[in-house]
Amino acid sequence: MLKKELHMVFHSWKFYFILGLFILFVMYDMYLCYGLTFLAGAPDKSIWIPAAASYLSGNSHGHVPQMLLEWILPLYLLVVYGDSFIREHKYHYTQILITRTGRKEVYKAKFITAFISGFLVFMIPLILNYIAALILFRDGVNSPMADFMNDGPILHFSILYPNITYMIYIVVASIVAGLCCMYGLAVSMLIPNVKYVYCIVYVIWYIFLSCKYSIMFVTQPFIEYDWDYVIPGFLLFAGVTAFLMLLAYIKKVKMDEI
Amino acid sequence: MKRRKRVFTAFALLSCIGMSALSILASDDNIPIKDINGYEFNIKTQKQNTHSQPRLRQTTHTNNPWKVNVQKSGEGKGTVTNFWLETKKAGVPESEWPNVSPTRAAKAGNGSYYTDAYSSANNVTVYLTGENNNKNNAVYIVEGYWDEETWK
Repeated sequence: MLKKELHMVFHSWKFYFILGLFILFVMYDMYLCYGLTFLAGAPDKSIWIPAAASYLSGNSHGHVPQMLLEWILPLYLLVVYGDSFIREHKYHYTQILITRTGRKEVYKAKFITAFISGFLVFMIPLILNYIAALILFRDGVNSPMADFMNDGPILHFSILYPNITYMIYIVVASIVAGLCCMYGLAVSMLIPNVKYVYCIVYVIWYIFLSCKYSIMFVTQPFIEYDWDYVIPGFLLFAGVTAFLMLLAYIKKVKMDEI
Repeated sequence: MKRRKRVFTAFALLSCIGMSALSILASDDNIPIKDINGYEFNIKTQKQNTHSQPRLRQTTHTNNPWKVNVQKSGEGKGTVTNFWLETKKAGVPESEWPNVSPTRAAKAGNGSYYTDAYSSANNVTVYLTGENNNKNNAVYIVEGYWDEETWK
């Protein structure tokens, strides 16, 4: 069942289309950072370290790539996999699957696939962007937040080991993207209607974006918001995702009748 | 003769004032951070980074640092805002003005931050430009001081 779902994702044009779009956005971010430093004629001491010039650090002025990608991340992930359930529900395809493998199996396989597809579609562009930063900004010495090194344990560690930190943040951001895809799938299981699903998923994401413990603090390295914001922010997001998954579980596994 | 003396005195006085004004311009001043129209300095979420009122940077030394001092930030105490200098370019929209200094992260209520500029900032009119360093959609007002060059 899991194999079949993964096969479906990795053989659909949507996955590769969104992957291409994400690569375009992160490379646009790299181009902006390159312009700010090298095209503006920055002296050697002002060139950023590779981790600071990478996408997640958000140092390209204007935050346009971040707005294009991360501010509407769950909508892209709905296109990748999250909304596939709605189509299957419409044509009663899930019923066929359930009779062949069981409800629990279908539920489990769908959520695991959602996580893997969200994780990969975000992680691959981030890694490519980071490799580009390592090449272009190889001589970088300027760490933008170095003045505030002693403000908190995460920032302290980040300034000391920027490359290790950035790699950890790539994994964390990809996990967030995976969870995003999972809650998108959960919402589409609860309300199998394209019109409502996209709205509800975006409203939920917007609340996470703008609340005090913003999800953006979780995916951005080198910021002044330390563990006292990052950990509650992540737990809140993971908690809401788990809650929506639980509701979807109750609806689809415990109460559903074929 | 008397009139000539008076004219001379007036000229001497005026030039004195002029010279002192010039030296004031080049020393370490505290210019309130106001936006290009003289209103509160808004940190926006959109691509349009806020520009301060223009100041002529007269120096030819890149290591004559500009400074920024954020006294109060609507984002909260101890939060960080990124600043840099931009200059006007003819035929280019305001959001595309070229950068003439590296970005400097300034913490609210933590004193002045002095930063060198690029050689493109020599002898041009510069605008202090700011944005939130975080990727979230916070919008807030910044209060404080800046100066385009700080050597005497």
